[in-house]
Amino acid sequence: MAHVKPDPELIRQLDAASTSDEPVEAVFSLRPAASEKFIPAGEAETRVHELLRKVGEEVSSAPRQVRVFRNLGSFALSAAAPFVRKLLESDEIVSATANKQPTSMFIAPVSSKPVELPKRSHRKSK
Amino acid sequence: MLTPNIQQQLDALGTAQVIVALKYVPPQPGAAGASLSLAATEVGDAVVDLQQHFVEAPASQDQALARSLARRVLRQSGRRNGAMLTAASTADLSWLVPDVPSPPKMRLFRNLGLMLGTTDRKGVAALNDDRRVDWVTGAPHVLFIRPVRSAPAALAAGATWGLERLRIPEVWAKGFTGKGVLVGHLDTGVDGTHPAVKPAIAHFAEFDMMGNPVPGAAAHDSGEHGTHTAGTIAGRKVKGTAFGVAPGAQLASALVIEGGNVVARILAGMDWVVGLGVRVLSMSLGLPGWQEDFLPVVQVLRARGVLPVFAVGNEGPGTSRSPGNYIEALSVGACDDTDQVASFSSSQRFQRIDNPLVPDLVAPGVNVISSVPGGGYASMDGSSMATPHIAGLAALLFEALGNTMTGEPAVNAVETAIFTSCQLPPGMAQERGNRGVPDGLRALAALPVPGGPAGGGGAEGAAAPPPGDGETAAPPKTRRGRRTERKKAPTHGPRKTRSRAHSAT
Repeated sequence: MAHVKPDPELIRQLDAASTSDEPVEAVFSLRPAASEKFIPAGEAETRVHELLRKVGEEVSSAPRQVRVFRNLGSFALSAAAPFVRKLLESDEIVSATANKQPTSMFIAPVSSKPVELPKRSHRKSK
Repeated sequence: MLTPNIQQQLDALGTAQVIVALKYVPPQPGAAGASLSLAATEVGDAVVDLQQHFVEAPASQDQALARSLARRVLRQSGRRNGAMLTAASTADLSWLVPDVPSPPKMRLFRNLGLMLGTTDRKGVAALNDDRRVDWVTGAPHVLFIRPVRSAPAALAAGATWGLERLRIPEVWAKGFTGKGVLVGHLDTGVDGTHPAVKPAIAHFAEFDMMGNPVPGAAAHDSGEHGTHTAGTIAGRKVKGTAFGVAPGAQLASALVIEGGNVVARILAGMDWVVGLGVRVLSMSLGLPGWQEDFLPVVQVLRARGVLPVFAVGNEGPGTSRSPGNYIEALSVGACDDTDQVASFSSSQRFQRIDNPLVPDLVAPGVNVISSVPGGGYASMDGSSMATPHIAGLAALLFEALGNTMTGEPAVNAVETAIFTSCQLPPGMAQERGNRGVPDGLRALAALPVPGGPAGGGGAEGAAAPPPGDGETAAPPKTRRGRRTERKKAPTHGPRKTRSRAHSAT
């Protein structure tokens, strides 16, 4: 693998998928060019599809679903495990994480109780 | 080989909490022993040898919990000396509270043949190599589980305690309500029919598991959390009661949590709000511990002129959640109306030079009253409740900044103003509250607005307002972003030794 340190959960899901034909869902961030603070929104789709085309040629397959987050320089996809593994080797990728995490990201409130707002006073305010 | 859990802890903290299983087989009558197993009598010798590989770690959850307990004991015993409580952050506790034991660096569960403790890289390698050890794995996080309160509470007319504490009404009196500022709100959704938040909702979206927008989605809440946090950010006054920090702001609210474990849905929400031009993103979401995967995205948010305001977590001392614990995020913990950090509020010290301590600050997060679906109101506790207070404050400051500054410089200016305004109340440990509680009026004065008290110097030259009676002027806090080099301001509070740089790879 090139520069990315993938999310351990993604590795686990890839390992599990290697014994079945189930696709793996993952979310990736693209590496901006050295001169860029971020990938321009207008270029994100082009760069993602170029990368996926290149990987697809190497593994002779294509992702089942792709969703590009153009303002973030990131994308989500659903693809066979070999496609995702090859993608992880790309220099263009700077982060990779499993789309479905075993742990909820929701930070639930510690406690909650109903409240009644006071009835509005009919006295004129000063 | 290191498990991913251990690797992540070592990368972020320099140490890791681990469980070590000994090759221990209880003696069985007449059975031949395994090729390498320890008889009960050998366990003791093994433990004596192996415990040298464990370390005392101030950043560990056990130590953090012990210090937190000691501070609580001091407060309850009436020894409210602020200096002693501050000292309890880092000093040996035994002379302060002899009856609160310091946690051992290793615990042995003899019947299970397991050891639990904190170790470092060298220790993990030694444990893995020891022939008496069967396996080593990362220890799971300890979570607090609290009951839901059932008795209803009452609220007096006026502003909530949180708004008063942050001096928000005084910011309103200066003419700033967040008007013209769009705030991103990613949560369980928002009740589009609630009278307090309906006028605030400018945009609403819902996304499926792959992050595709759900066509025709009307503003609704899949729970009650989102309506509550939305109300704290921008809720309008109802029946003479104010609970929204920026009642003039507008919300771009997205439903990104149902269960909350689908990443693409959350990124879709972030992508959407950036496209709409929000200036602040309020998010009470996070994965437990240190997880690097959102880092590039949070960096993009800042670079695109969005201030990311994230909750730090509710798992108590020695814990935090990503992305709230990133340097690039403004992380928020919870305090109560006696200026104490809530016991559930997460806090953690990382092995990095820049901003090693999270959360960045604390805000009202206990007994926070706001809107809930169905037209009602509820009091909730959580760092999720504290976070929208700061998002709302940021909205007020962005209004004040206007178009004098945009993009990342504006983000840095607003964040610096908030940090500059913070004060650590007496008795609040810096380890738990970091910079302390912000002050809306002081933050407004600290903005680099031309013609204002702090104007003319740019974000880095922002001057803090003069201290009031009994207050010590806090030096301005700047943030060193990954792509922006800034001079590091001196830290507030006890002098700390320089920690090693955080290693991200």
